[in-house]
Amino acid sequence: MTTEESIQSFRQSYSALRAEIGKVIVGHDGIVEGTLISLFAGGHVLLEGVPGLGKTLLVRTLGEVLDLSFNRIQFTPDLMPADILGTNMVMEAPGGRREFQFQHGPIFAHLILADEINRATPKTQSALLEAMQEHQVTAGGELRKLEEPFFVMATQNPIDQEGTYPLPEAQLDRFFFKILVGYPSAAELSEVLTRTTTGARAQVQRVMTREALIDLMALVRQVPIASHVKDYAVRLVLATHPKTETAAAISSQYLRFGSSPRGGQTLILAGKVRALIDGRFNVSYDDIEAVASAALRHRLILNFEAEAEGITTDHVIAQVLRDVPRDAQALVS
Amino acid sequence: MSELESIRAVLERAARRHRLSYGLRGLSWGLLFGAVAALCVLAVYHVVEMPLWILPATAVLPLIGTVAGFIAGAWRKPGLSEVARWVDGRRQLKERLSTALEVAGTVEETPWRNLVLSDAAEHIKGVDARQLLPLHLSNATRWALVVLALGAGLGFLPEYRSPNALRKRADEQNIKETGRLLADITRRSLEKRAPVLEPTQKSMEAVSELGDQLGKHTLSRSEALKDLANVADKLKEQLKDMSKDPGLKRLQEAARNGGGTDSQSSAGLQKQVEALQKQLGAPTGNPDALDKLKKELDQIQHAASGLANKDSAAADAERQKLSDALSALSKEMQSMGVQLPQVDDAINALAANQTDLVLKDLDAATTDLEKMREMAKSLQQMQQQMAKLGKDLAEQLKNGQPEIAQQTLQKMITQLNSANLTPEQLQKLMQEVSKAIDPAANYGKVADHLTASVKRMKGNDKAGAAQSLADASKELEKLMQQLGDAQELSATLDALNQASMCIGNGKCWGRCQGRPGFNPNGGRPGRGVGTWADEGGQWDGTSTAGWDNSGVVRPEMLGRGQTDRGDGELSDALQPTKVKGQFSQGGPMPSITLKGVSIKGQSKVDYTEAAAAAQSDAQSALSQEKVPRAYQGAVKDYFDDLKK
Repeated sequence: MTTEESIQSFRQSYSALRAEIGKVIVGHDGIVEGTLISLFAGGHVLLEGVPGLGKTLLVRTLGEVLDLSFNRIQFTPDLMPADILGTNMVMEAPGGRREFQFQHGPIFAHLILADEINRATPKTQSALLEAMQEHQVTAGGELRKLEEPFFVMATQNPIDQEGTYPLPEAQLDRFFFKILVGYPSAAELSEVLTRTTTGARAQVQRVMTREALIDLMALVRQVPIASHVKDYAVRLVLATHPKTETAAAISSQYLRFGSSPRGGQTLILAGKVRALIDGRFNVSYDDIEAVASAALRHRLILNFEAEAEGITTDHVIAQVLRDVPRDAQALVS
Repeated sequence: MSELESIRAVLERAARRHRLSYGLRGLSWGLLFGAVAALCVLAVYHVVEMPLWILPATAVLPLIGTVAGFIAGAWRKPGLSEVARWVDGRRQLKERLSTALEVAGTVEETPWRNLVLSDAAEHIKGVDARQLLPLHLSNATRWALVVLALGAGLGFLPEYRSPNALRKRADEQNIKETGRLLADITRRSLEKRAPVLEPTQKSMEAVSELGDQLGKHTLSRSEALKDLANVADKLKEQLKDMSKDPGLKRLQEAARNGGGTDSQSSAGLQKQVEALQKQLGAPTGNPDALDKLKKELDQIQHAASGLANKDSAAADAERQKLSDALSALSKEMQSMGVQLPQVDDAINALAANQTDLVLKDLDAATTDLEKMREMAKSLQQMQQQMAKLGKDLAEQLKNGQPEIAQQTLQKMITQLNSANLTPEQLQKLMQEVSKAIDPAANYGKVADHLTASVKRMKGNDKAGAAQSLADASKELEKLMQQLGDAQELSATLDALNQASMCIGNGKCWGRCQGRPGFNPNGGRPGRGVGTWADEGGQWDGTSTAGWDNSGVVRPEMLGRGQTDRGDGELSDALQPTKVKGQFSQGGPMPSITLKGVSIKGQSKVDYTEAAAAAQSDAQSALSQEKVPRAYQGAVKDYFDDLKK
């Protein structure tokens, strides 16, 4: 398949995925797009929202439309790491001999739904760190590779809800996007009610195989990006580093820590996916700006002053986008 | 044309357009800056004394700004990648062009490269540099025009100059004008008579150069006066040296006393006297007698004008009286030898009762009489001058008449050289020359030459005697030349003094005649009253400028600091008050509690301890983030200052 055909295939697959998901999920276009961008970029997604907004349904639907193995882990306060990763158990062999056998945990699947991830203790949450970053787990003294592709789609309630534990910064940073799920509009809510209070149930079809997905993920990384666009992403990330020469004023005022390099990687990769979705062969400034909030909001740590004044990371990112010029050496018209 | 080439072609056109646009923008801003600078300079020029060349230079400023702005704007050629990014932004091309240019720069030909180039080429088709960047002048041009208009308007406002600046400018112009006149006068003097002595020549040339220098360069009053004084001192020294020569001294004295520097000989004067006598007719009355006659004639003329065709008995009597007066005057004239036929005509006309004719005749008679009076006066002066002329060589030398003495010597030489000179004549010559030896002692070597001549005459050496007389004549000639030089130097010195006075007083040349306080028309110096009154000057009855200063406004001399001080009562705020309390060791200080309730009692804590405790509390609050970040700096500074 030529590059042009691959690109065409990408767009068709994306459209098919949107269409299938759209049969189940009403509205939430931005959330669906963000989730799919993470999927094609090979990143994990953290969906945050109050209960009942369709977070779990979205991920479950995604598992249904992709020809991938799918596991759901319901995070609870008593959930233990071994419950996720798996454990060695004494098993009786056919010869009657007893031996330890590793029982794979639910993490061993292509697509993991980590539902209400912030209801587990930090200890259990941390069990995902190695799997998310290195696509492997170490259990029973052995290193076990996870099959590619591997995605963690986590949902969480807002952290100020009862019985929740905030995710550690290290784990947050491993999520490609953090997508905020908001309330549906009146029309969307009406449609949701229609679909869920009648006997009809939407049937979705598998529209993409594992191999096709891996090919498209490889295609994404080939999309060219101009140096000045890359420089823009770099300047955006640096602008979030408080008390530095490159810091935006708002970062120095309201942030304790800025984005890690993973934030920059996310901006570029997400920009590439977005360019392909848009039918372009290059990344633009608009692509970077469009994904900046989802890519950076969970990577910025607010300080006391911001907390006291009710400033969110989205405010900071919006201001940084306003402060940082797109082209540092642009000609003035 | 490949896709890349087509992209480059469009971008190059856009780059050129962009450069031109930058040039135009620079032009507008340059014009604005130039106009503002010009306006500022003009404004400063209106209040501060500046050289005049500033004005044309100011007019050029906007032009310079315009050219410099255009060059500065169009100087840098933008790169293609810059232009590509700019076009991307302007046409919302989503960085297609800039990415294509960058990807095209890679050596490797990849499918992505072709895709990106094709996409960019497709999107650049509709890009037109002229539509993208229409050329126009920026808004700065409008402001520049406004500023230029303001500048032009400012040109109509009169400049403010302080009295000092005006005085300085007037001084400079006066110095230049005076310098030009000084140079002109000296140069004319040199052209009229070139000095014989080299030092005199040099000194006068120095004065001329000084005049040129004053006329060309801008000097302050003190500098100009200093230069003038230097040259004047040199001239005075030179004159002093020259005056040490006794011969020259004698000539100068004679010249001052109106002696014989006049070149007219006695023979010439005699001829003129005879001619005048012939015109007047002999015997002529003296000018005083003629003056008396004129006065009488004036009285008669006045009486005749009052007669004016009256036809009555009283008028006839008056006519008779007038006729008698005229007859008496006619007889008096005849007795003085004055011939005025108009008087007789007037008598006849009076008899014929023709008053107009009488007046006409009397008018003509008055004019003729006036002429005669002037001629008589001239004749009297010539006769006085002839009386002063020496009759022989001794007297001529004694009277300081070197030119006439020279003529006499020349006559003697001619006599000596003539073949038919009798011994008696020689003896007479010898006596005349011998008599002149003593007066010639004041004329340098002239006496020696005359003595030598006498000796040679005694030895009957006529040629030798003639030669000695010729030498004496030459010596006189030399002395006269020196005198001429001295007079020229003196005149030049006068001119220098006059220039100094002009510059020193800040007046023009024409108003600085003579030395300070010296009236060239005679009389005593000054123009005041009493003993220093200007005796020569006459008041015309209307001019009061000399003493009437009413209407003269001198704002710089107005009184200052005199204001209305009211009725002399002090305001309440200035009334003296008594403050209660006392300063005593350990006692309370008098104080005013402005707000709140004062806390009574004495503090047992030392001030420094209290400040340290407060600072510690502040530090604690800061470290616990009890103080908002925005105020932390101010809080820290405040408590740090308490230490001091």
